[in-house]
Amino acid sequence: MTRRKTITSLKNFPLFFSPAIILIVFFVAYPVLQTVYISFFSPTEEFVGLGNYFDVLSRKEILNVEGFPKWPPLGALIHNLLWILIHLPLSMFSGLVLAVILRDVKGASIVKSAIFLGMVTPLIVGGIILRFTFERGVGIVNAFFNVLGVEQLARTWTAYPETALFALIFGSVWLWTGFSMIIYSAGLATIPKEYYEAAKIDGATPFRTFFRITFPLLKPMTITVVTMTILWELKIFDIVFVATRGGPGWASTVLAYQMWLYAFRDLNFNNAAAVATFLTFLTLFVTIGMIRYMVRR
Amino acid sequence: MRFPKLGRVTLYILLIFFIFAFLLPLWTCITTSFKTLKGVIDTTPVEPPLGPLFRLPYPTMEPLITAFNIMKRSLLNSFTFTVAAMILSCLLGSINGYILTKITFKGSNTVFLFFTIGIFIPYQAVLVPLVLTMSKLGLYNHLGGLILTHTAYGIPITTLLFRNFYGLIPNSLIMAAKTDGAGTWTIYRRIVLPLSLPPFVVAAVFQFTSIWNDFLFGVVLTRGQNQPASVVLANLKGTTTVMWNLLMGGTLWYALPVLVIYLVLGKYLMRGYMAGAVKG
Repeated sequence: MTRRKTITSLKNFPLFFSPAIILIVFFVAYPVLQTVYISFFSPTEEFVGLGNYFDVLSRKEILNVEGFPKWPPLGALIHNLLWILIHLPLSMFSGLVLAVILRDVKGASIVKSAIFLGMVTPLIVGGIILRFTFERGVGIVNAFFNVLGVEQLARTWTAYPETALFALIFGSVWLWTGFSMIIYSAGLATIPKEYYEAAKIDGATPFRTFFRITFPLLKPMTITVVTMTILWELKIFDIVFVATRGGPGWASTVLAYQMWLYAFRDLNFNNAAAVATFLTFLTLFVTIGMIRYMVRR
Repeated sequence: MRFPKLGRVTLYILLIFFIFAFLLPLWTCITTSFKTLKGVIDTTPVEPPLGPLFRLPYPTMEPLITAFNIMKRSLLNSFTFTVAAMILSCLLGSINGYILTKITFKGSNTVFLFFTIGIFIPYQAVLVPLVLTMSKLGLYNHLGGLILTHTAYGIPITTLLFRNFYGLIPNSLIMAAKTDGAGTWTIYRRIVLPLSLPPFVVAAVFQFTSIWNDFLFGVVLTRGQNQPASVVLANLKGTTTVMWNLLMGGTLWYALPVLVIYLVLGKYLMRGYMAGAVKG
């Protein structure tokens, strides 16, 4: 970002930007501003301030914490939060462990390709496979429980309010582990071998070496993985749409899916805009945190 | 890190287990799409579609054929707008990257920020106004609408990729051409573009997969005949019970192009992810 490049001033260069600028203005910038704008108005185009936001936050499908702690449905906002609390550490650490193990193992690229497949898989396909995996009678999870002889655990996990959300969260670790793995792999490749030789001479145990040398040096990668993973978890939509439609009831709904329901099922554009703006605010908050860290460096 | 001998054996067993565990979903997808509905219920998804003692009552091509017939139109739609938007977003990203790295001008950082901000905007933030804009342009339920949308949302990442790459092209090369009297466009076409194969491959592979995999824009901007494969697949369920073999057949058809690209050019795809994330 701080790279200074100098050169030639060539003529009429703004002309070259214009197609990209026109596209972004029309299809990105203007719609975002329009969404923010209508989030402050009622369907009859009266200015209501934060009215839509209060309205949305008071709804059970967005925030339902009465009698907390309890099982889902807890509302989309809490569901997204649970997604971050469970999915982020799981996918991040499994990716980190894999990257460290695979650093100097023969045939590492084969393992990496198999694991990264989850990142390439369309999320719609991921959702279908998750649903299938947890389905009673046909899915692999239940085939596994049957083999173990715990048949009472063999059930359609996505069909019960207590387990639907968690089935999707745990299942989606499979899709995203590849990301943290390749980012950490790239980071590990930048650590000079001498550091480890020095640590060895000093008689440091592998654990000590990892926590004193490797992990601190991977901090930029950790920041990247945490940021991008949180963004992914905030935008979760396809998986929920295809695996459970947010159900049963509201038990596995998330903000992005709820926004879609408000807009395209209820045709309540103002409430939808409030959810969308709120979501954008959350992602910007996370992003700005990352950019500030990058610039400080 | 050196592992002791016994540790190494355990390690390899563990890694092979990992490969199996991560490939299992794809495997169950393949086996299921070759089974009859009875086969799906009688066998576990891990088993190949061979009946008890290989008397072969279960294997069938029917789910794959039926799924293809349902999805062929949408697969063609997806292919059309994906390739078009891929090419457009790569070209625009390349031009942006060139201007941003090779020309000094006031506010170039602002322009760059403007181009890349789209990476972080959740698509939900644009959906409703986007549908209205497309209707006004007559592009609602039209592949052109999807092409423009995917091109616009591809610009951030392609600009980033090309900017990183063009930063490595020596400025003296551009200077020399300028002294010879070449203009902005000529320099791009004669010098920059011929050097750009590597970033074009990375950007194209990355764009193809992400546009092909998209569901949200497709479901919001199109209906019926013009829907992309992702949307048709999401609606591909039986009326009362889910026909898992048909659904898995459709899944295979839909995932096929991306799987092929991943097998052939997976290395470049990973590079795209890393460039987008590490240098962001």
